[in-house]
Amino acid sequence: MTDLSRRHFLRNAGIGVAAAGAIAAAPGLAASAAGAAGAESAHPSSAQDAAGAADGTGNSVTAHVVDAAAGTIALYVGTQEVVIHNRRLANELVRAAQ
Amino acid sequence: MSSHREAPGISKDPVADSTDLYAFVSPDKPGTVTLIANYVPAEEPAGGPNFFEFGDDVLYEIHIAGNERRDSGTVYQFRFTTTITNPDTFLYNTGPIRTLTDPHWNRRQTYSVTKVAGNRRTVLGSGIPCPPCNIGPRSTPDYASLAAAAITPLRTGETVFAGQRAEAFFVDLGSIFDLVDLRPIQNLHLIPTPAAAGIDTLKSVNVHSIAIQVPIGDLTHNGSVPTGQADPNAVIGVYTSASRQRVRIEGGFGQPAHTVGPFTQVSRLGNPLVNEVLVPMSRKDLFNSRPPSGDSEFAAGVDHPELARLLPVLYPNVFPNLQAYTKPRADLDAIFLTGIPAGVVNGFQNYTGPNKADLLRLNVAIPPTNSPKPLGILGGDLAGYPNGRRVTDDVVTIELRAIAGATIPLVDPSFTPDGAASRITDGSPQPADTVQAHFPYIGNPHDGYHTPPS
Repeated sequence: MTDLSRRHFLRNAGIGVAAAGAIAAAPGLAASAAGAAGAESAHPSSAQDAAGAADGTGNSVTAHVVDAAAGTIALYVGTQEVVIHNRRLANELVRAAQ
Repeated sequence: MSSHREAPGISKDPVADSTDLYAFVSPDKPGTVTLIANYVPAEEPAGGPNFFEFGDDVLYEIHIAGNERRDSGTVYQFRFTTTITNPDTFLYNTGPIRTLTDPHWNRRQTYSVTKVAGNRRTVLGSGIPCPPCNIGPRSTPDYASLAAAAITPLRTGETVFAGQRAEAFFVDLGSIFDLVDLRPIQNLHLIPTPAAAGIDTLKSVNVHSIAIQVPIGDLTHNGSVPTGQADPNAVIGVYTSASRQRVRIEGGFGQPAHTVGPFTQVSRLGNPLVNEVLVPMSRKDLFNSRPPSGDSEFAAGVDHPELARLLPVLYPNVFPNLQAYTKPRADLDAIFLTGIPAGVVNGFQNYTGPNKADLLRLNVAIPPTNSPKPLGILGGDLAGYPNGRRVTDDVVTIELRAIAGATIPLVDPSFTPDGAASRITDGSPQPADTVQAHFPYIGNPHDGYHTPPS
């Protein structure tokens, strides 16, 4: 990693999935385009949040729950990808997306 | 086509679809090499109001590898930015475009060039203008001047151009993909047809070119300017790739899409027709996602090409020697995957070692010729394909003949090619106006007013 630490990723992920409009996607989930924050209601604001990251704010974290059972989550920020293993977080994301 | 729409995945993503790659010692500046990577296949010239352009969200790269290195030693990266100057018009231009800063030009692109060598990244230039597309006599009345103005020398010694060009690759797609209808043996096909002239399917379309002219010493492994063709440092390997960020989230509701994550390769091209013809359809997308260093996994398609097995079936009794030849095709392996070792072609080598990688290999110590032969080395011209590739090289005919067995004797003198192997062609001529004598060497694009839909 060049400009972001793993700790920073994890911190962003922990906060971001709850509050920063990050995107959770998992196989078989309808939440592939719905942010965790917006998943409670399929409101357009979730998409707008996502689009907002394109404005250059740069702090949006996109999370892809690759394997919920194994807790494998891929996090995307800027041009970086970090894969973490956190079953609790993965399960929370899956639940939030249902 | 050379590499136009050659794989299922990339055929649906034209702005990232590499179509042709050229690498040659510049005939008018022999101290330099010109590298050209074409993208966006089969552009219909009258494609308004949204004329063709590069992708702002695509990372375009030209990679240089040398010696035993099969991936990138040096990489030239190109990133594009699109600007709309008048948000209140639906038009590409609201008057004649006479300069690259003309206020009548509504949608324009600029680009940056970055050189990556190891961990060192150097921005060679930014904000460099592309020319507009060639719209027609009212909108782009002096297109040649616009294109010339877009040729940009960089302070580090390179010269660059990025923008629309005529499609210089020529091929009769209709015949090739109609069960390999070849001239002059159409009447000998399993389903014979009368003789007919070849048709260049691409003669009326355009493409987008990224061209960079680089001093030779910037490309060779040790920074030298080799003068002897036997010098291992004289050979460079070239490929181009396009990459997209791994995640794209559609903005919706008028908002721009959000792209995030590392760039991942979606298209690559070294030698013409490798992924197109030698890789099975089920693996073409995989090929496009892989670096050349992993090409041993695709070597079976080179060693035992499907087309070489098909020719004797489609042309009964025309290719009996080819049909009987069951050894791995060491000739094709050399042409496409390792380079041609010394001693195979008198006075020539472009060998980069035994590791298999689809690279366009150029021996920079072979000087350009004033009278290039379209068949390149097959025609006795060491400055042509597969020693790099010039814009005028007839790579379709060269590769058809090679696959048909014409090059087997180079590595296996016991083999006698069938008579047809040295005669077959798809028969399409290269239009003269698709080539020019100076950088960027590919001709000005066809304009939309005069050119009928292809």
